[in-house]
Amino acid sequence: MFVEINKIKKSYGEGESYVQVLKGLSTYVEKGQTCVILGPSGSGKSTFLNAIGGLDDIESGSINIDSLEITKLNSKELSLYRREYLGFIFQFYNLVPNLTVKENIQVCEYLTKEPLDLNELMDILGLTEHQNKFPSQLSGGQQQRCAIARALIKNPKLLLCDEPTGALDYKAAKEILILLEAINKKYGTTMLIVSHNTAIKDMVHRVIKIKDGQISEDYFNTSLIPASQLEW
Amino acid sequence: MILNKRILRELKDNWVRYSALAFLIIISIGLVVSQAGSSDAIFYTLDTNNEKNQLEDGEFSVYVPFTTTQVQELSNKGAKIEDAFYMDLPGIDDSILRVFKNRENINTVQLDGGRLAEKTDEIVLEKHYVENFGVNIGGTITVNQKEYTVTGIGSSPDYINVLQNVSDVLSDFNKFSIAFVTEEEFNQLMQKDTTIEYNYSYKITGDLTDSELKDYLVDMDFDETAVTNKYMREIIDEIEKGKKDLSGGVNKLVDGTQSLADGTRSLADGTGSLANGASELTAGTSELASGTDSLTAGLEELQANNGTINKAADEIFQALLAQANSEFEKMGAGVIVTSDNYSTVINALISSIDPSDSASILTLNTLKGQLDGYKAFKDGLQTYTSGVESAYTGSLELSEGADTVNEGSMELAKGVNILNSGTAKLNSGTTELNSGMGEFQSEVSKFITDNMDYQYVNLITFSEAQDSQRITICRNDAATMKYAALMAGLIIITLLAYMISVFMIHTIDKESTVIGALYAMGYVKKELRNHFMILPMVIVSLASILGTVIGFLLVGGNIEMSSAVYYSYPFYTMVYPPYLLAYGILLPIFIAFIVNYIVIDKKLSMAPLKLLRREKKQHKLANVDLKNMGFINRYRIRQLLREIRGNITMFFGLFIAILLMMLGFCIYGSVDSYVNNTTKDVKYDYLYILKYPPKTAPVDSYKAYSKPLSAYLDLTGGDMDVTLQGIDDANPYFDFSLEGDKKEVRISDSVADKFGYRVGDQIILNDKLEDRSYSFTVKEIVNFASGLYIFMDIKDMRDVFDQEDDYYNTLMSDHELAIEDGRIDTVITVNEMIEASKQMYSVLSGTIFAIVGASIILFVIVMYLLLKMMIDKSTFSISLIKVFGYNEKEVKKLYLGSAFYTVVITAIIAIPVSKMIVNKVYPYLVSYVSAGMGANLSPLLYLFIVGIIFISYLIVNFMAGRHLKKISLVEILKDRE
Repeated sequence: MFVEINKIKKSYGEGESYVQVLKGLSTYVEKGQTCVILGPSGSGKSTFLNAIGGLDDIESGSINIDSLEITKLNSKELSLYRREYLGFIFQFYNLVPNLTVKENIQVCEYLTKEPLDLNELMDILGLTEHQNKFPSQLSGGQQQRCAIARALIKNPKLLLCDEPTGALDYKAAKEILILLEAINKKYGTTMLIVSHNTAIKDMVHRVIKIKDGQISEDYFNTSLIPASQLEW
Repeated sequence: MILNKRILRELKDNWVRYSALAFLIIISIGLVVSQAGSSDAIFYTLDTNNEKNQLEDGEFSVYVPFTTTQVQELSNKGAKIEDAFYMDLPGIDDSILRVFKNRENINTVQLDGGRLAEKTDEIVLEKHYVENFGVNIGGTITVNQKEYTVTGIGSSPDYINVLQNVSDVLSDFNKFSIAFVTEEEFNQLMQKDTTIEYNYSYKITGDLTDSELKDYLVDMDFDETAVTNKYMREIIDEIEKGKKDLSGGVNKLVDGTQSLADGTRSLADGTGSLANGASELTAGTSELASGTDSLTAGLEELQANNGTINKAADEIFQALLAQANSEFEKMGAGVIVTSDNYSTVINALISSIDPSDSASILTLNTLKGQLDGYKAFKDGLQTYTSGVESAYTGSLELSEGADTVNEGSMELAKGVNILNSGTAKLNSGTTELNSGMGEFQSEVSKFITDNMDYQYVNLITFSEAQDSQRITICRNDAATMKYAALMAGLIIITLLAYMISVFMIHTIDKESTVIGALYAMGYVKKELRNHFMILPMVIVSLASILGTVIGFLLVGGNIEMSSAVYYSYPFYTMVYPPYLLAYGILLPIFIAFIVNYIVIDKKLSMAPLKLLRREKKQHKLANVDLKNMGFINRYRIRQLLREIRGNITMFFGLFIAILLMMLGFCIYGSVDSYVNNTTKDVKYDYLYILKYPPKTAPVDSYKAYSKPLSAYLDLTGGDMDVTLQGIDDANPYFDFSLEGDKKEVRISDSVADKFGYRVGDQIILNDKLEDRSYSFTVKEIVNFASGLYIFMDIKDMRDVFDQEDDYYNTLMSDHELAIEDGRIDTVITVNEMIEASKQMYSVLSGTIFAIVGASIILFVIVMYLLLKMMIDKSTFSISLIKVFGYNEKEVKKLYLGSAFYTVVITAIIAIPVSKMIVNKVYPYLVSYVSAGMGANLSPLLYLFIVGIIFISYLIVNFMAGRHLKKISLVEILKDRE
C-alpha cells in the first residue's frame, strides 16, 4: 500500500476545551489512486491530511507513505519527506505574491532534480499565456492552476489537496477538478483531496468520509464519472 | 534560487521603507566614517607634520639666553635646543602677533603657500590670521608700525592651537596669532623691544628624560648680571641690595652680641658680690634671731619677778606708813597718813608746828623725806617692772622680726645665688653667642656667596610637548570625537539592524501562509532563512558601502568646517584606515547578519501549519484587563499591545533620536551657559597678569596673586592647568568670604564641574616647575565660570608659597591701568573673555546643527517607518473599521493614537534619562577644554526639545494619516484569511 494509516489519534486543547480530532483512524490508499476525504467542518479531515503531509504531528498510531514511517521523522527529515514525496494544493493558493506564474512554479522546480517539463505543465494547466503575470493579476481559478502546477512540477508521489476548489466558483472549480483528473491520468499521481464538495466523490477512486474523528464511510468508487460531467 | 527573484520586487514594492532605512544607514555610517575619518586624517596630518617639521619634545623659557657653550653643554647632555625667542607685537586691528625668527631645526614652519621671509621687511603669517584679515601672499601688513611684505602663509607644529597663553580656553585669530621674520629682522626687533621672551624648544636625542633636563636647567649656572630685561634687572638689583643689607645687618648683629657679652659679664660680677653680701646678711640675721631669743628668755625671767618685787616694795612702804602713823599717834598729831596723802599731811603738820620746834620739824621732814624716798623707790620699781614687761613684749616681737629677717635674708641669699648662677650662665651663653655670632657672620657670608646665587634660577617655565594645550588639544579633540562617533555609530547601526529585522518579521508575518506552503512543499528553514536574509543584508551592505564612501567624501568638508577652522595645521592628508573601512562596511553587515539571523531564524522556526494558519503567539500583555476604559483608549491600548514589538522598537529608535537631540541642545546649553556665566561672574573689566609687578600697585586696582598649577583630571588621565588665585576680602569683584584655614580654598563651579570636586574634598595642586604638590581642602564652591580658578586668601597664599607679605602678580580693575607694557604678561578684558567665549557658538554651531538635524531625521524616519509598518499589518482591521462606518478622523484616532502614547511615554522616559546619559558623557567630550562646561539645559531648551518631538510627531502623524487614507474599503475582500 502506498499510503497506510494505522490508528492515528490527535487532540487539541486541554480541560474543557479538549477536543479529540482523530480517534484512532486507520485507512490506506493505493498508489495512483485518487481519494477524496469528505466530512463536515470540524470532523478532522484537514487534520488527517496535515498529518499525512507531515505538517501536524499525531499522538499515536502510524503513517506509512511508500514504506516510509513519517511519524518517526524529525523536522528536518520531514522537510526532506515533503520535498521528495509531496505536492500540496491549498484552498487559498498561497502563491508568492511578487513572483510571476512561471516563477511560482519554478519555486518548486528548484526542489527536485527531476522536475516535470515546465512548459508542458503550463500548457496542460493553461498557464502559458499567463506565465509572466503576478498572482494578483490572475483570477482565483488561474491562481489555483498555478498552485497545482507548482505542486506538480516536482512530480510528487503524493498530491495532497486541501479544499482545492473551496475558494472558487463553480466553473473555476470544475476546471480544477478536470485538471486534477487529467494529471492523475497522465502522471499517475496519487491524490488525497479534502473537500466539502460531495460531488467530487464521483470522480475519484476512493471515498473516505470522516465524522467526529472517525471514518464513517470508506469505499471504492466502481463507476467513475469524468470531472467534466460533475454537477453540484 | 528562483525564490530570490522576488527580492527586487519586494524592494520595489516597499522602496519607501527600504530607502528610508538605507538612508538612515547611509547618513549614520556617513557621519560616523566622516567624523572618524576626519580624526584619522587629522592624526595622520599632524603626525606627518610633526615628523617633517621636527615637533619639539618640549619647551622652556629663561631669563638669560644661553651661551653657545651652554647650548653645546645641553647638546652633549642629550638635549638639542633651538631658540624660539618671541615678542608680542601689535598687528592688524588691535590684534597681537607673536613674532618669531625663522626656525631651522625644531618646530619648523610648514608653509601652505609662498616662501619663508628672506629680507628684513618680509614676514610669514599664520594661515587663519591671513584668512581673517584678508591678507594675501605678496600683500603687506603693518606690525609694530613697520610694514612687511607677506611672503608666505603656514603653520607651526608647536602652535596648532594658537593660544596666547596656555591657560586660554580658545584661540581667537582676531586677537592673536603668530608670525615669522628673518633672524636679522628679529635681532633688530630685539634691540627695540624689552618684552622679549627667551623661549627654547628642545628635542631629546639621548637617554635624557624631560625631568632630568628640567633639573639640569634649574642647576645650570648663569650670569645674572647679563639679564637685560629692565624689570628683571630691578628684581636682581633688589636681591643684590638685600644680600648687602643682610651682610651689613649680620655685622651689626655681631657687634651687638659683643656688647651684650660685655654687659652680661659685668652683670655676672655684680651678682657675685650680691651673693656674698646676701650670705653675710643671712649669717647676721641668724645671730640676731638667736640674740633676740636669749633676750626674750631673760626678759621673761625678769618679768616673772615683777609681781614679787612690786608687792614687797608696797609692803615696805605700807610698813613705813604704819610706822609713821604710829609715831603721829604717839605724837598725838591726830593724823593718819596714807601713800596718797602723806606728803600733804606731813607738810600741814610742819606748818602747824611752831617753827621753833625745830626738832619736830626736823623729825617730820626726815619722816617725810624717808617716805618720799621710799615712794620714789617704789614708783621706780613699778616703772622698772613695767619696762621689763614692755621689753619682754618688745623682745618677743623683736625675736619674731629677727626670725622673719633671718628667713628673708635666707631667701634673698638663695635668690641671689640663683641670680648669680643665671648670670653666670647668661654670661657663658653670651660668650658663646658672641663666639657663635662670629661663626654666623662667616656662615651668612658663605650663605650669601653660595645660596643667594642659587636663587637666580634661570629657568622660568618648562613644559613638555605632551602637556602643551597648544600641541595636544587638536589631537585630543579629534580622538574624543572619533571615539564618540564610533560608539554612537555602533548604537545606531544596531538599532537600524534591529529595525530591519522587525520589517523582515513583518514581511514574514505577511507572507506567513506562503512560507507555510513552501515548507509544505519541502523547503527547509535554511533555504528560507537565507532567502529572507538576502534583502536586509543587501540593503545594509549597499548602504554601508555607500555610507562609507560618502563618509570618506565628507571628511574634507568636515575637517574644513570644524577642526581646521580653529586649529592651525597644514592642509589635511586623506587616509583610509583599514579599521574604518571594516567599521563602515563590515561591522554593519556583521551586526545586521547577527541580528537578522537570530530574529528571522526564530520566526521561521514556527511549524509550517502555524504559518499556514497565521497562528501567532498572543503576548501576555495583550490580555491586560483594561477595566472600564473608554472605547477609543481601550482600542488604542490594544493596538499598542498588539504591536508591542514595533512600539518597543519605536521606543528605542525615538530614544536614540532624543538622546542625540539632547546632546545637541546640551552642547548649545553648555556654550550658552558658559557665555552667560562668564558675563555674569567676571565683575572686573581688566585683569592684568604681571611678569614684573611694580612695588606700588596703581590706585583703584586690586591686588591678587595668581599661580598656574595643575590638577589630575580623571577624564583625561592627565593633569589639567588651573589657576590658584589669592585675593583679599576687600576685593569688590568677588562676593564670597575668604575666612577659614590657610589650607582651605574656594573652587569655582567651573573647577567643580571639570574635576568633580565637592565641598570637603582634598585637592592636590601640582607645581610642575618646582616639582611640588600642595594639598587643600575645598571650603566652598563659588560662581566663576571663566577658566578654571581656585581662590584663597592672598595672605594665606603668600604664606603657603613663601612669598613676601605684600607680594602680588595680578591686578584687577574696572578701568585700564597705566602699567608699563614690559611688566605685563597678559591683559585680559572682560569683553575679550566674553567675545572669546562667544566664539564657541560659531565653533560648535555646525556640530549642534548636524546633531540636532540628524536626530530629527532619525526621529521622523524611525517613527514613520514603524508606524507605516503597523498600519500595513492592520490593513484588514482598518478596512473593516472603515466598512463599519468609521470616518477618517476616527480611524486615525484609533490607529495613530497608540503611537501618540508611545511618543509620550518615550519622551517622558527618554528626556530625563538621556539628560542623565549626556551628563555622564558630555564631560568626556569637553575633557580637553580648559573650562568647566556642564551639560546645561535651560527650561526653555527643554521646551524646545519637547516642541521638536511633538512637531516631528505631528509631521509623521500627517504622513501616516495619508497612508491610512489609502487603505481601501475593499481591502477586506482581498484578504482570504
